Amino acid sequence: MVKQHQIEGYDQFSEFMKNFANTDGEVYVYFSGSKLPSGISWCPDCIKAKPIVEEALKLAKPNSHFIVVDVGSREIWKDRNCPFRTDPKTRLLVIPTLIRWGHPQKLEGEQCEKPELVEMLFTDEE
Amino acid sequence: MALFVRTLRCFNFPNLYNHNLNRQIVFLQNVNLKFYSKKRENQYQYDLVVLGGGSGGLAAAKEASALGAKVAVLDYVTPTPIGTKWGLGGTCVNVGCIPKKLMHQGALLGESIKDAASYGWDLEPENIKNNWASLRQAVQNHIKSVNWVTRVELRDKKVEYINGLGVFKDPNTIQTITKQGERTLTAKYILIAVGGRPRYSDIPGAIEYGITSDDIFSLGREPGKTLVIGAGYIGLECAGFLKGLGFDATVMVRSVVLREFDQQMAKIITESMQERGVNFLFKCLPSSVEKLDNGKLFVRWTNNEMEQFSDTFDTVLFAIGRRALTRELHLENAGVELIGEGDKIDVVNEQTNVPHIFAVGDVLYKKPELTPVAIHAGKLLARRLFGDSTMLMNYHNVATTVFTPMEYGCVGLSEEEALEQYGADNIEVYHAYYKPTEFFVPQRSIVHCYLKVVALLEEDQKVLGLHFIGPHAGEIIQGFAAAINCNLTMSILKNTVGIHPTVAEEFTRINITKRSGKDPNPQSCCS
Ligand SMILES: Cc1cc2nc3c(=O)[nH]c(=O)nc-3n(C[C@H](O)[C@H](O)[C@H](O)COP(=O)(O)OP(=O)(O)OC[C@H]3O[C@@H](n4cnc5c(N)ncnc54)[C@H](O)[C@@H]3O)c2cc1C
Repeated sequence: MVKQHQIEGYDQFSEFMKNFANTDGEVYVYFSGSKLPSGISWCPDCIKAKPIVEEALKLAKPNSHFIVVDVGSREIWKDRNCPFRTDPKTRLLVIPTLIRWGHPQKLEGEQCEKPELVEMLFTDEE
Repeated sequence: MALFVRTLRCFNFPNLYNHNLNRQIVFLQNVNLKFYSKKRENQYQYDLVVLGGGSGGLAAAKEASALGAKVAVLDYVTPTPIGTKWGLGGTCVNVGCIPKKLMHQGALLGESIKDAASYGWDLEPENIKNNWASLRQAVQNHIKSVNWVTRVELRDKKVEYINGLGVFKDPNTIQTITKQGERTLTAKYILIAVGGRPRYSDIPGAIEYGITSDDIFSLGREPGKTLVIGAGYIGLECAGFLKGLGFDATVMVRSVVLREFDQQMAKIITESMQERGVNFLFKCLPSSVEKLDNGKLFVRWTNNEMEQFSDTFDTVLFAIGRRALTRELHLENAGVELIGEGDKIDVVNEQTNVPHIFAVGDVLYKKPELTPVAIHAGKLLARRLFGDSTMLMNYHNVATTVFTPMEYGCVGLSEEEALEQYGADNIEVYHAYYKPTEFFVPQRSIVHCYLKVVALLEEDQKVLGLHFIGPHAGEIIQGFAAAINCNLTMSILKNTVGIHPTVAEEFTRINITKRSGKDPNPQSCCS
């Protein structure tokens, strides 16, 4: 079973990644907009991508980790100096962004809504 | 089936008349195809199968798919003798333009750091050192992300990517073996875009101990003292960045440096590399490479007077030319003919002697071996096959740049070519040495900063060729390539106002002709 983790905001994210010693299995990180009080994300593209990503995740190897990172409110994300944008480890340009951590595999924005691309990210062997 | 046999027979006895007629027929058919997707034929599994996922193949595949064709691309990299292999995208992305430009940039930064001290930066440039492992890692990381983006793009554009070596089974059938097993693909059109690979010298130890440009950009150890055998642009570029990164570099030249380029410019490039400390062994041929007990490579060579020499190196890099990967394709099963020494394919508008089989890129006979050439030809071909385009590829006036430490960019004819085609009486050559403003402060050598314009002598003096040696030559020559394609003349050039202070403006200031015998050196004052 893929192990899922839920992270909120940059501080928690950088702390978590620091201590996250994953010995085997791929680590997938999915950056999206935080949820509004209503329970859904403020970011419409993230809402569209979510079911596609969750479905494709079933294809990932069982020893994988899936880390969902809510980057914060709309105000926090829209700030040009948002640490998710400036940290060289993430350098996010858009949300949603889906990354195989430490590898070149990465999908951004609308790409995360395309099942064939998301499936490739979770199964790519190269 | 009867038809099929007859076609095959025709392929076995090709004659020139038939050949050209067939090409015309296909051409006419294509003109009538407006929207390809509406006319799909079901006789074949694919409308187009592309052999080779490099610059040309991928461009054609993506364009064809966007026009509604059903397309598959096969790409497979046979590992080098020392086991180097790489991902999707072909030579340019993995072992060509991209890693080369990044390493060139790495080397240039070293020079800039030295200059920086003169510009007031508090540094100790004597102590700077490049870390090969870090540079290699950075370059390889970039390549890996390009490989991924390429795979995403193909998937997104509905081009099927097959990681297998393709061979012809018959004129419309490609066979391949993938991890998943054997596959047979039939296609209406087939595009050969398999590119080429470096050749090794036919001397003892070359393959066992030598490497090529296919290995250098991912080499797991420092290259150290390196002998580059071959003085084409790839050999010079490798020697140039290795020297710039701090390694001892020697270039062994068989006959001439940069054979395909203007020889005056080639000579200046050679001198500028020598000034930077790159060694040149002229008119020499290697005779053997042996491995010593201490792991170093012992190389023997002879010069044209049959004198023998030897030295030890850490790395021997062969850059003596490239061979098209056509022999491996079993072209005899399709009837496609090869031409010349390099196993090349001769085409008319990218069409081979077999009308439904096309070729683009480095496999083509007597065409520039450059990425943008392969891409443009591939795109235009796809539009002619599957769109309603009739636009043909123009292989003339393609600009190019040699990324030696001092870059050399050119477009159009060399001085030799112009003299041969038009005669010395009809050619005027303008030339100048110049001083880049930014070279003064760090007192960089300016003796090799040179440019020339080759033009017709009469009337407006139509420009036939432009040549520039200096910083950012690639960036400079690109715009002038567009100007040449718009029939640039000397009078237009001289009436163009420059951007000051740049090096590109030197083209607008050029006024001394070789014929005048005047000194092309700049006045001592600085503009
Ligand atoms: C060191 C170096 C530096 C260069 N620098 C520049 C530069 O600065 N600028 C520039 O414009 N050009 C440069 N080039 C040239 C440029 O890389 C080529 O012109 C370009 O890549 C040619 O594209 P192509 O499509 O013909 O073939 P390639 O890009 O070589 O692609 C062919 C692909 O087909 C694969 N293949 C071969 N046979 C088969 C088969 N049977 N089945 C399946 N797949 C197969 C190959 O493995 C390869 O992946 C450089 C080349 C080198 C070597």
